[in-house]
Amino acid sequence: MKLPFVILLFGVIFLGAILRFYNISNNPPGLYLDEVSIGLNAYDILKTGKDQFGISYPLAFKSFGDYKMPIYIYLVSLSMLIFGKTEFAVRFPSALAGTLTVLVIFFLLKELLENDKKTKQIANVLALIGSAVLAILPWHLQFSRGGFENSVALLFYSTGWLLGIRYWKTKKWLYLLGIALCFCFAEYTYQLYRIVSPLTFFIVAVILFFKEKKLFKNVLLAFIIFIILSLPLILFSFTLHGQERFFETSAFGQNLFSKGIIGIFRDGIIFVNNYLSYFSLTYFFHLGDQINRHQVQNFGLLYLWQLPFLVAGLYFLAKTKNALIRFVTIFFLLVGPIAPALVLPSPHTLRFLSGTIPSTLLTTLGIYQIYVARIKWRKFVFVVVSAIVAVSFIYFLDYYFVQYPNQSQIFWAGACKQVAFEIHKDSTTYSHIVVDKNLGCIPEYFSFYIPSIPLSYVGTSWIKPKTWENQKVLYVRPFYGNSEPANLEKNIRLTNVDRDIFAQLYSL
Amino acid sequence: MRKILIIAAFIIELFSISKWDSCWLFKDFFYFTPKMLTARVIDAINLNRGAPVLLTHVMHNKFIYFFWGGIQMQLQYWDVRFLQVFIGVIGFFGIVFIIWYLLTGLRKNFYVWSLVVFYIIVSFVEAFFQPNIIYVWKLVIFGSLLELLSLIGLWQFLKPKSNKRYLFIAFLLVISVLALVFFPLSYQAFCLKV
Repeated sequence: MKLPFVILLFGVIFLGAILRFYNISNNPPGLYLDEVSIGLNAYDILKTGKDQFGISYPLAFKSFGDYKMPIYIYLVSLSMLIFGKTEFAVRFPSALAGTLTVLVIFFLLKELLENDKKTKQIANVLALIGSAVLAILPWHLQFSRGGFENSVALLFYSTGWLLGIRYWKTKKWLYLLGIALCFCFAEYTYQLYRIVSPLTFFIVAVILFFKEKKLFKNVLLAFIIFIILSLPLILFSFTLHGQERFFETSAFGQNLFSKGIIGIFRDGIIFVNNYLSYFSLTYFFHLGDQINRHQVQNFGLLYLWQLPFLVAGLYFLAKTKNALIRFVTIFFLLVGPIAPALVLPSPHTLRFLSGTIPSTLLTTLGIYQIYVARIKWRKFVFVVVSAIVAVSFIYFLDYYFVQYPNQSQIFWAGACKQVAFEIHKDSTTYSHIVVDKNLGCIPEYFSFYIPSIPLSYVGTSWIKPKTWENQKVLYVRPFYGNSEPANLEKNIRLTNVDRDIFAQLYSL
Repeated sequence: MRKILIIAAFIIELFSISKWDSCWLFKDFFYFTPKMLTARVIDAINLNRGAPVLLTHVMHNKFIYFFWGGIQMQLQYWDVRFLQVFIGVIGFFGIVFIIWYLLTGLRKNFYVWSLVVFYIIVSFVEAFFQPNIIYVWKLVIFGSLLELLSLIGLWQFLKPKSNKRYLFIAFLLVISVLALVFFPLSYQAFCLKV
């Protein structure tokens, strides 16, 4: 690679990093439930070597209603060692992984495109375009900026694929070991990869069994290494705790699968419906999965300008003689939704984060396909498309950095953070701080933000006890309809359009 | 064989559409009326607190949102979740095939392109103006257009007379029937029941 090109690549990575790290402590505007759990566990591990429940260096961390995979929590521990117990530290590994994935996609695309005579000459440029697409992709940015384990898992998984392609080309053993390690790390990072990683190995092994028996034996060996490394997780998966999450979210009711022929057919249809929902156009370009934490409202997961390129990319895949790029893209596209389709809700953007890879690959291939097509007024089209891409990006910046914090505060428990800071401000002037249980902020939020301030949790009908008569009490409760009651110290308002009152602080 | 499969697909698609008869209107996400357009622009302006006023006016106005929202709304009428319920799983795949053939091979097929353009216009009129037409007529128009497109798509797909393709379509037919049997009320997610 020549120096100007390296500078350009560095520029793309830098853009990806800026978009992922800029103001991540405040936007998303608060730590959501899982992030708080990760943060508290990571901090306890750092300080005591034990999790919140007193277990030393656990393999699976007990969280709210499920068990979390360990790698992300240990990474946050390391991050807290440098940045302290902050929101930045909780989100740092995810943002870093997101930035590194941009680099991995560059090399992945480069390897894939160099495999074809037609695309070989401009493989570097196309790979750069692909990494730039991922760098600014709303879907990938959304999950890189929150403390989502899947962001790190995707880095491991895509690196595994990159090493796989390197192995395919060079037949070096070291790459095989790398694949086993990467897929294994992905498993230990995010629940979903307990299905995706072995499934990937299985499908690739089956294909190689029929096509390249020599490689099959080696891949089988890598699979055995992978299984050995995964043994603790496999054993955990057979325990009740290991299956808890699946049973909680299973698309097939309380049982693993329904019983009887009719039940099997019924489950099959549920699966097909769920699976197809991952190919919904409104899901990609308008509404997403409608969980506010997973996308900017009304913006969609992908840019609208990507739609024609995605179609052109599919056309390229149908016509190309580059079997490798066809296999990898279709694999990501078709296998990606299998595991998420087994659980509810469906579609679920976080669980299908691997969908960012095929959408980036297809967009890049589509750009190439349209570039080589005989289009009239090529320069004019180029200018118009570039303008549309630039304007869309500016819109995304406005939607994400200006509107999203206002619009999504309630979904990220941003108001709880506000309440915690208000309590912290006044804590020294009060003898007791009392919080209504119905406030909507679980105690763990306050344990994260203001661990040193003792809080008492009370019911809605609480009244100040006579024994506290001469002591100052700060009473925090949800908004029950009266915006200016007696003894009101402060209304905590949301930043949404209506500026709704979230909580009220009373001085009693 | 091809004719049998097409007839079976026709019957299943017709049966899927007929279920929608018990509704009286599509749900709100099929619409992007002038009122909704105004509401979306106002929301965007309000949420843009802190940004320069001029920038907010340039970016968030009815003109831009009409195009943007219009395209997003149009996607709803081509959405897999809607189509697989409206004309069945088999119908959805028929639509995928016809779009594929239009984009790759049948560029000069004026009639098929006319059907697609007509469907786009009809769905736009429905979404933006919500015309005061009897609901059943809307069903007839949308249903016949989509079914026609889908059957042409399936016909094109089955043209090469390959057993694999016959088998694939037969499989989709079974899936469609099972979906109708096990989830007969799934259409209620998309329309308001009488």
